[in-house]
Amino acid sequence: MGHTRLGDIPRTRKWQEVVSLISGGAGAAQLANSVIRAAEQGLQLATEHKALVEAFWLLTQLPLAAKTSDLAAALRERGLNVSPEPGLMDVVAAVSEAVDARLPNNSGRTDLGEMAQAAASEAIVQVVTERTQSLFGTTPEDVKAGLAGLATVKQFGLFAKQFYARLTEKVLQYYVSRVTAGAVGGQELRFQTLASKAEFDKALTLHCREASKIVEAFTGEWFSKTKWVNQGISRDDAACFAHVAMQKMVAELKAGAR
Amino acid sequence: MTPATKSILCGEAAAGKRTKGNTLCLRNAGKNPDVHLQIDDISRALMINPPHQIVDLIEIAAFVYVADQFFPRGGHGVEDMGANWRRPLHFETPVRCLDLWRRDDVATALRETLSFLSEDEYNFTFLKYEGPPAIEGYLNFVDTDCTTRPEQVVLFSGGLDSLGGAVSEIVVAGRPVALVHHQATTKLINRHRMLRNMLNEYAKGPKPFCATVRINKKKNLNHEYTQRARSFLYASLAMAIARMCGLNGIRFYENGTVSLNLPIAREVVGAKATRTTHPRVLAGFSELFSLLTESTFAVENGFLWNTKEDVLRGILDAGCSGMIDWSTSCAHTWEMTNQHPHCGKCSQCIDRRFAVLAAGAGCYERADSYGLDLLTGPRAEGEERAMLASYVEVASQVSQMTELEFFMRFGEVGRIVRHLGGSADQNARMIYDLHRRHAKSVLRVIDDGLAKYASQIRARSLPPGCLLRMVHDPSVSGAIEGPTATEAMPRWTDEPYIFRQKGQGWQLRFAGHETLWFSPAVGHRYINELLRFTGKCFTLSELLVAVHGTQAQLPLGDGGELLDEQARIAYWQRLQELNEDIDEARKKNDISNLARHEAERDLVRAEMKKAWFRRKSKRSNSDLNRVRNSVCNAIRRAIRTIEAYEPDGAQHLTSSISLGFSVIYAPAEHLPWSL
Repeated sequence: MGHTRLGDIPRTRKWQEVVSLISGGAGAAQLANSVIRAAEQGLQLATEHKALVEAFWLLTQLPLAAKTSDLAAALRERGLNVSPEPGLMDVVAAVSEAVDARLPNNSGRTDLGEMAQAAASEAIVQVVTERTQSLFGTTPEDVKAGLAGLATVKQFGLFAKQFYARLTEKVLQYYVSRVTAGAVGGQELRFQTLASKAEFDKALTLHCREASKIVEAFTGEWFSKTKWVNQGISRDDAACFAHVAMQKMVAELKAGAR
Repeated sequence: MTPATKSILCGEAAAGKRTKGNTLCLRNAGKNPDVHLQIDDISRALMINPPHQIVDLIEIAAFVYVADQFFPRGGHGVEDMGANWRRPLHFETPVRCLDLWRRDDVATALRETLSFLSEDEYNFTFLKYEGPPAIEGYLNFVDTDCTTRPEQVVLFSGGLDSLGGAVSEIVVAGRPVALVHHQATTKLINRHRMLRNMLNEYAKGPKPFCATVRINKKKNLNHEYTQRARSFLYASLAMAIARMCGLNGIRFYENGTVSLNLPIAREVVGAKATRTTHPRVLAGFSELFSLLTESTFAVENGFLWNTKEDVLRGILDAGCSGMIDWSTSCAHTWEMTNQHPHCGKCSQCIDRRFAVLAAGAGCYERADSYGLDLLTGPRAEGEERAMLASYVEVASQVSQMTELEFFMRFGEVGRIVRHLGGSADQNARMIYDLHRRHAKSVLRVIDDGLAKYASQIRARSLPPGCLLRMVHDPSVSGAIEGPTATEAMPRWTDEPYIFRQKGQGWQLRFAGHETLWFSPAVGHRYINELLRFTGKCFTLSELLVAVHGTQAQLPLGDGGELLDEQARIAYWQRLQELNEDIDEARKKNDISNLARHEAERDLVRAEMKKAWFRRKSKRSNSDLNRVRNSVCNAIRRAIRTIEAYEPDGAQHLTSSISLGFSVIYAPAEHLPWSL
């Protein structure tokens, strides 16, 4: 019963330009630029994607919760349903479920929100594992220490950078993979083998990481300032930030090929 | 923009109403019902009528099943980020047990399970049935030779996984089992009958009892093919059969990789990867059914930790290899023929064939069972090729991933790990192991294929677009992997200024920046020609001949004066006549004629004004003018396209190219263009 269908790309002028760039041999940066231009309208209204806002807000809450004496209780206060001694995957699952809970009955759910939800899980796994040096078998103390370490200007900036790099890559591939996967095999096509397509995907990932540095630069300071001035970070704060961050990412990607 | 709510009026709620726009009326009783559900072969000796709340459940499930296929999802979400993929559905449906269905816990369990399953927004208004259809209308009781009450209810689609489940229950464990089978198409009747006969023959214990479910709905109710909510109907029917047999559980059999269904491509987001047996869905079914039966009701997947290869090996070990060829996995049933029961293109055919070859069971399937051979079949550009490329690429990536890399790639796992029992960490590790085993199985098939077809690969005789050529193409010069995306667009070249044709398009590099590629456009050809002869003043004819050669359409002159002498005199005469008519109409106070003549006079004056300028006759748009506009606009368009990606380059071209009846590229500073 597990049938999967792939998507296609509209035959409108802006999207056909993207298709022609892919088949013509455009590099990752130019392609990212053209995709972002074509998809710009949907991305600029980041605050309309409730799951994106909630995912980012939860990321801001993890280090704050970890700074308290009882991590599990602090997480539960923030809507994260975790066991009394949460492991890393427990926290990851709780974040995912908390985003779902914020969108009961799928009200307001979008594909961008779905991608943000997955990107948040992936960023938590990466950042905490880098600090604890272990994925499985992390003790609750390891998790607490790993999350608490993210509360500095520099470390939260890196955390947000990971999130936005993953989200941006997902967004670009959401469009690009509709064309690239079908353009493999044959002399006349963009990718003669799967290996050359994999190289292209790597180049796109790298470009997204580079572009997300723009977010790293100001997120840490925003985090530090907002939690101090507002005595915490509200969902409205997170929504405003998500909107600005997305605008900056879009501008950066549009400038990326220059 | 939020999509409009779709109303589904069901049963008695649809009385006297018609399907129109966003309202769907579904009648399940009367002379000409829109949807009719029939469960055949119910054993009179072994089963009892189900309680009312269960009958309500299967009616609700049938309405959801039909509505899911009626309202289109609005495309693949490129323009709206999938906002229209998710449909707000509002059901108004009569039930027998109103108080139960209105209970918060029941309504919430129903809504949450369905909304996760199909990613739609569900709302229900329950009404009290005035004259509910008799349950006997749905059940077709027969006298069977089954005498043993089933101990397990298993959903049986006739695919490889459900066959593996049936074999493990009936042949290996020798357990009395009720198979619940949905007959979706008549094309499969013979193949399913053959499988049932073989299961009867191989059964170690009592013969299995098989209930066949048919859902007849009007043809005009089919608009949406995705059918994300279908497993709710199957599970509800299986649950009804289980309760009729006095059982408190049902079992799906679906391999773990398909059940967890991590996306095989990046555009597959949310429920676009089907969640028919996702652990969270099964947990939701279990919760809902437990509330309805007021007891613990288990909904399990018996193959959650098995790959499809494991399933195949189970069938082979049980000595049931002869059944493999009779099972059908293809999703494209409309392409199915007796010769090719599998299309070979859809995700299920690809998954099946990899598993069959990995388990060494290729000899148990007819070689021509598939419309397209997995390894050597030429696949068309687009989705056909994309499906296989994505499948293999994900397997290839997973096979090389560490645990950390796996969870950094598939954030969707966060939705799974807490619905499997046990610790989240332990479940995560098992999910990783499962996918690694699956990936290795896929790559083993490819490696064996490369070895088997080594001669054809060397001779380059395999068709383009086949899997083996996608993996390894010897016609790619240099190496196995061919030129990479970054190699195709070198940054490190020592040519800082490039503007030349590449393939059908144009390659541009300015001041050592990123090398760019542009779609073919005539403006780029003009610019290339101008750059080739820096400082040369081209007349339009020269530029056209240089770019288009003998195809150039050269200007031949103009179209002459807009009005000739005769026309001019005629206009003057008519104007004088009109002036006289107007004076006369004024004198007679004839308002209607006055207005008519004035209107005509204005028209004549406007035409005369257009044709004369400063007492001199204007000439029609000349060919030369048209050609000048065409060339200059083409160059301007090309520069605008470049500006989006390379503003510095566009700025340089704008300031250096002078446009007009003669065109010249004269930069302030000479640039070493590679053309």
